[in-house]
Amino acid sequence: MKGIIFAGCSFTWGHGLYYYSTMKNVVNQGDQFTPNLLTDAHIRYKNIFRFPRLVANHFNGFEIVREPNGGNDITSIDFVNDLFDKNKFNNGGKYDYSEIDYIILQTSQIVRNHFDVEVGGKLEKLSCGQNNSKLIKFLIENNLTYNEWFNIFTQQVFQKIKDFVIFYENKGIKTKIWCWQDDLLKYIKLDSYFSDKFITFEYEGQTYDCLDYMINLNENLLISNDKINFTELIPDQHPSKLCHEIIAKNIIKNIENK
Amino acid sequence: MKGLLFGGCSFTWGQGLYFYSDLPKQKYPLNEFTYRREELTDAHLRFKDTLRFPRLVANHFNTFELVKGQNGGGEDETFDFLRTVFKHKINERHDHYVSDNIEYGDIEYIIIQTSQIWRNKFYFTLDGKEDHAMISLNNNHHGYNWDILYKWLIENNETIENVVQSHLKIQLDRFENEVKFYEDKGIKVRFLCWEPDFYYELDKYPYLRERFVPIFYNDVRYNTIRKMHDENPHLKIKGDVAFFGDNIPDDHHPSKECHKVIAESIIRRLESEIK
Repeated sequence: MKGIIFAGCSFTWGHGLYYYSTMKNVVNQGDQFTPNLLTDAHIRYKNIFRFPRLVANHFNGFEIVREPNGGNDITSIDFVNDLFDKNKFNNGGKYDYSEIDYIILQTSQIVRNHFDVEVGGKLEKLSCGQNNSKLIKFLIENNLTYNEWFNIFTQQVFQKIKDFVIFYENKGIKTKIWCWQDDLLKYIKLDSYFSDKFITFEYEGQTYDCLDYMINLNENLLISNDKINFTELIPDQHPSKLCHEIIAKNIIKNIENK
Repeated sequence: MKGLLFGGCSFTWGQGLYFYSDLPKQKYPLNEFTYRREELTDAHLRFKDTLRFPRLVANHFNTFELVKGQNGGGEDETFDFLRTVFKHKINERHDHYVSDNIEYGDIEYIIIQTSQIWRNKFYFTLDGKEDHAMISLNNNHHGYNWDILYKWLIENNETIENVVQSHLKIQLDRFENEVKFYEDKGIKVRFLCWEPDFYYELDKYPYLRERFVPIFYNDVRYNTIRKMHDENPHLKIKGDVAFFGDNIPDDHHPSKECHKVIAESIIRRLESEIK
């Protein structure tokens, strides 16, 4: 296997996995993220537990993951695009399409993305927080309820993701997608283009369409509820080490089956 | 286990392992002594990391590995790299590509692969000016800066044989001092040898001998990679006919299997200590 690009938010980055290290200087940050409290050793340590490394190890390939923590679907798309753009700076290196076998895209919370709208012939990117005054103005001017707008917005994000996937598939890179939350599921599941690209999660005899569904029924898959590894619980709402292993297993299974 | 820090030359770096990938744009070296960084892509570099023995050892112990970013070097570069990792030294040339801030407490073991002893500089003072040369053990000692060294030999009524002996002692003494330094910081240091020069001297250095890691292949003990390669040529890339067939790179670096063999020997040693 050649390279595998993993794009996503803190779930892909491996937020909180440093708590599984044997290093005594790991600071309990709760559910906060203060980069200064992490040493480079902690960062390197969490990389070995996260699902990108587990998948890459399984296929004897190498993984490329965005260095900064967090992000949304659009930063994920930008990250991947920049890897192939020799004119853009990127810590992850520069690659040729022919050097990459797979892109694994993990969708994040949809409202982290901007809503693109044309105002006076100019493209504006509106923040999607419910209290954003520009967005409220847009809803009033267009006589839209929040729910009506939300449908338009999710379709817009889905279309960007679909365009992204089509672009890279045309370049010969196989693309897979899995979801943390369920906002995009209705589009992805109804679109036959995604039928062999969509990754679901099998765990203890059940199949889940997104990670949220799996975690809701198996709370031990969050670091905050991992009573097996922590006697003193850490209020970190990110996937546990076991959860990363389950994600990796399902990605591997999907790749091997299709 | 905490982190593992690896020092060594191109053998540790994983030169040539990218030839085991199905990545495009691979150019075989003109001969086994040539290396052109500009012919390697970021993908080649990332791929070789996955097959080299530092990653294999780290994977086994569920920990992370740190390896010098730049290819090649001898013990001069290895110890300079270690100093840079622990920020004893700011590497202004950034030639080790170290960006991490690592503390002594982050590292469980330092594993050093010794290289060719003549790669390390021999320092001398001529006409009041400090200079250095490479004491090549081949080519009639005509290494880097031979002409100046020769002048120094004449002026100091020295023989090259004495200089070679003195160089060996300087290198072994330095090696022992560096190992003691990191052991005093609570990091266990172990080492293996490519060439026999270091190994031959170990009887005089019991402290080092205790920390020496032999390599086992097919139940035979090898004290140097050189010896193992001589007796098992397929453990060099250029001898790995099973993988490359007729289209084999002229590259004397350890094969994919050889990296596995080295990793297994290190793992065996470390596990015996953990138990």
